[in-house]
Parts: sequence; structure tokens; C-alpha cells
Amino acid sequence: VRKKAIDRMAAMRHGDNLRGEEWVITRADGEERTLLISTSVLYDPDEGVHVLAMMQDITDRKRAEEQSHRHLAELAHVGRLATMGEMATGLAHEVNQPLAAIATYADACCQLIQDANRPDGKRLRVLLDKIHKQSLRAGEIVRRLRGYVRRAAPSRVATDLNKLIRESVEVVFAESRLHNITVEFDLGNSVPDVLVDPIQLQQVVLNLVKNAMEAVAEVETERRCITLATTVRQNALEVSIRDNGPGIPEATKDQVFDAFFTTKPDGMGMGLAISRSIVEAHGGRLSVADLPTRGSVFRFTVPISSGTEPLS
Amino acid sequence: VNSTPIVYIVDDDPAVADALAEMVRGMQLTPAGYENAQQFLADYDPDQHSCLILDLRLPGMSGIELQQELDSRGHSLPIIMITGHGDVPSCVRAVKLGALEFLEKPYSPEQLRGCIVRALELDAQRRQRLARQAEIEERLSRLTAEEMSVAKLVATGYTNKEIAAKLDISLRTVQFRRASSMNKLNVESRAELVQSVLLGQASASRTDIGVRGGQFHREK
Repeated sequence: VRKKAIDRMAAMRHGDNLRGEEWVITRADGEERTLLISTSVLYDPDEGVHVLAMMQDITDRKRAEEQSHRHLAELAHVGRLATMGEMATGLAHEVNQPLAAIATYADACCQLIQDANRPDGKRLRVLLDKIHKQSLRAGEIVRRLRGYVRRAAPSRVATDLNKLIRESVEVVFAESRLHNITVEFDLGNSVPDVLVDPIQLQQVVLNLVKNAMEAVAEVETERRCITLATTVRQNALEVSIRDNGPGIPEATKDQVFDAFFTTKPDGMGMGLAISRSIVEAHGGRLSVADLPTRGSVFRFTVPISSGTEPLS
Repeated sequence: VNSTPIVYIVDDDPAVADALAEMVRGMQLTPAGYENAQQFLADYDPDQHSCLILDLRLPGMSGIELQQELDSRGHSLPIIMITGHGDVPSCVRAVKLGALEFLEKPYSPEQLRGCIVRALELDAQRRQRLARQAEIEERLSRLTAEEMSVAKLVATGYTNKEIAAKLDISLRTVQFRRASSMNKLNVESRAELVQSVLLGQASASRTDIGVRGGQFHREK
């Protein structure tokens, strides 16, 4: 630190000021503290050169921030597990499909080998190829789910939100098809990458899509529709999820983001609360509005430039 | 009427439908796959010797709804219902509606093949019965009203003498009408005559039930 300070002084001589640099120092009692240091050189024609140095001990503030990020990550993880639990039936169905196909193709192969005097190698090859494809399909479903429930340290990486949105919807694809829900995409063309935690953002999208699916389940079968859109708005990327469900009653509109508020018989009431926390931790906002026609729209933003703030 | 049996497959998962089709082909049978109930209904030929492998969970019209639709149209082809999850109430409903078998995914292909063979056998028997019935009905329709009334009374168990008294005609006329009825019905004994008349009556009353919407009428 001493060496760093001397270097700093030298640099200041050349008018090189420091604005809010974090230094980690070790106190006499061995404890590490983080200091926020700003320096500036003031030149006064009468009194000569003044050096102004400001040091702020931000250790406690940083610890609190890290802890709240950790808590959010924990909570988000629990939320993802709960979501998986709610979707278990649909997911089991989704994994069962390729497995059933594999077992059936394999049976066809066995028949081919047993029955034919001279097994048709070409047809056998075609069938084995189909088995291979279906096993990859099953593996892909498992990979996607494992990625989703993974308890990973929050990390922010440059992410293509359009791609993330499409992948999130794939998780509930079987479910949506079964309930005759049309999922439409209106994704912006030149959407820049944003610095986000992909697992957490996927969780937000999935939560909102699941809510939308439950909302449209209340309308007639032919016209259940969910639209996911992305738009660039000044310094933020806006993601909107709209549904043509019955909308949210005025009386409960203020409560939907509250923890433990739920309208579902087996809901925990954490989905939207966690989603809002995640969005806000990313420096964005999550809000809900009625649509002029019918249904509601949930919108959230993610800053485009200021997502650079490091997270723990 | 095509005598080569067709195994209809309705499953919204293209891979599952394709795999089932391959398995059916392996059984030296002809598969016909459909993504949804509407497509199947548009293509289904009731005169075709066939059975149906049906996914319970389908977008649009569900497996049970299709089963009901077929029933209301009077098509009673044997159905093997397949479901992704053990949905007990649906299972009970499907079986009540006459589903031949209810298999849970992941099913054993061997078991499924057994079901297909059984379903096609049942369908063949049903078709034979229907054909026989149609033949009898056609023959019965050739009877004159006078011949019919005599035949019916024979079937009820009256003697020629009693019939003559009942219808106020001569014994000779009864004998004559009875002989011509047997000739037209292509039967040689009294027992056969009775059987034909009863079968004709049974199929007539069955049609009545069908019109009145008897849903549970399905052969098993």
C-alpha cells in the first residue's frame, strides 16, 4: 500500500487525479478494510499547491451489499426450485416423450432383426439414427433444467436477451401447446447484449410467462395468446410480456409484487416478489399495466450501459 | 372395403407418432399417423378394418373428446389410449367409454403390440358380426309384410295352427308364407328362422338406442 501511495503521489504531480478508487488495506490488527479514495490537486496562485485527499471506509457498506446479493441469490434459487416443483408434471411429460419414442424405435429395431431372414441394414440404420436424435432431445431437456436449477454464484455476463427469452419459453413449450396457448415473439432486431445474470433473468422471464399462461387459461380456447417483446428505450432494454387474460383486478394491483401475495391455491406468492428484486438488483424496474383491449402487460427494463457495476 | 388392417395413430408429438408408425410397420401392418383429432376425423374411414392408438392429452380436441365424437357418430373402432401421466379420472372415463386398453407412458412396446393384435382381432370379429347382421337385415327387407308377420309369430313360438287363427288366414297360407320367408332368408330350420328374425329386431332396437344417444353402447 505504501508503494501504491507513493506512486499515486507521483502521478498527482502530473495532474493525474483519482476519482473513487477502491483500495484494500490491512489494518494493524490484521483486518482487511476497503477504502474509497479520491484525490485532487488544487493550485492556488497565492498559496501554491494543495493536495486534497478523501478516504472513506466503505467496508461495511460493501459487506452489506454483498450479503443482500447473496440473500437474493439464495431466494432466487429457492424460487427456481419451487417453480420446477410446480411444473413437475409438465416436465415429466416432456422428458417422457423422447423416452417413449426411443423405446418404440428400439422395439421396431428388434422386430427387424428377428423377423427378417436378412435384416435390412439400411432401415436399421435409419431407426438407430432416430433413436440417437431422440436421446439427444432428452439430454437437451435435462441440460436445460439442470442449468435452470443450478445454485451458481451470481455472475454477470454479456447476454443476448432475445435468445434468453426464446430458451426460457422452451421450458414451458409442452405446457403451452397442451393448453392451446399461442406464444408470439416480437423481438427487436438490433438489441444490444446486456450485462446480466442469465439464470436469474431467465427466472424472471419464466415467472412472467407462467403467470401469463395461468391468466390466459381463463379465456376461451381459440384465442389464448402471449406475446413477448423486446424494445430498446434510451439507455435501457425493455422486455414486455403481454397476455389476453382477464387482467388484474384493481383491488389487488398494488399487492401483486408483495411477498407471499398469491391468488393461486397452491402458490407461494414469491414469483413476482423475487422477480422484482432480481430486476432491481440489475438496476432496472418491473411494472404491470392493463392493456386497452384486454389482459395485462408486465414490463421490465435492464440498463444497457450501466450494467457494468460488478456484483460481489 | 380394404381388408388390410390399418393402425391409426393420433399423437401430437411427431417423434412419438413416427416411432409408433415404425413399430406398426415392423408388425407388417399399415400405420396412419395424425397430429390431432380433427385431422384424424377428416381422414378416418369407418369401413376400414382398423384400430386406433390415441394420446389422451392432445391440443384442441382431447383423446376423450375424440372417443365421444366417434361414439356419437356410431363408429366403434377399438381404441388403445395412451397417457403421459397416470390421470386416474380420465382413465376411468376412457375405459367406461369403451377404451380397450389404457397404457401409461413410458409404455412397454411389447405390451402395446399385444394390444394392437387384440384390438385388430376384436375389430375383425365386430366387422364379421356387422356384415352378418347387414346380410340378415337385407334378407329380412325382402320379406313382404304378410311374410314378416308370419315369421315374427313363428319366432315368438306360435304353431302354424295358432298363427292361422291369430291372423285369420288358412293354414295353407301360413305354411306357404313360412316357406317363402325361409327361402328368402336362406335358412333351413325353424331355429335359424327365429335367429334371423331376432337378430334383425336386435339391430333395429340398437339403432334406436343409438339415436337416443346411448353413449355407453360399445362392443368390448
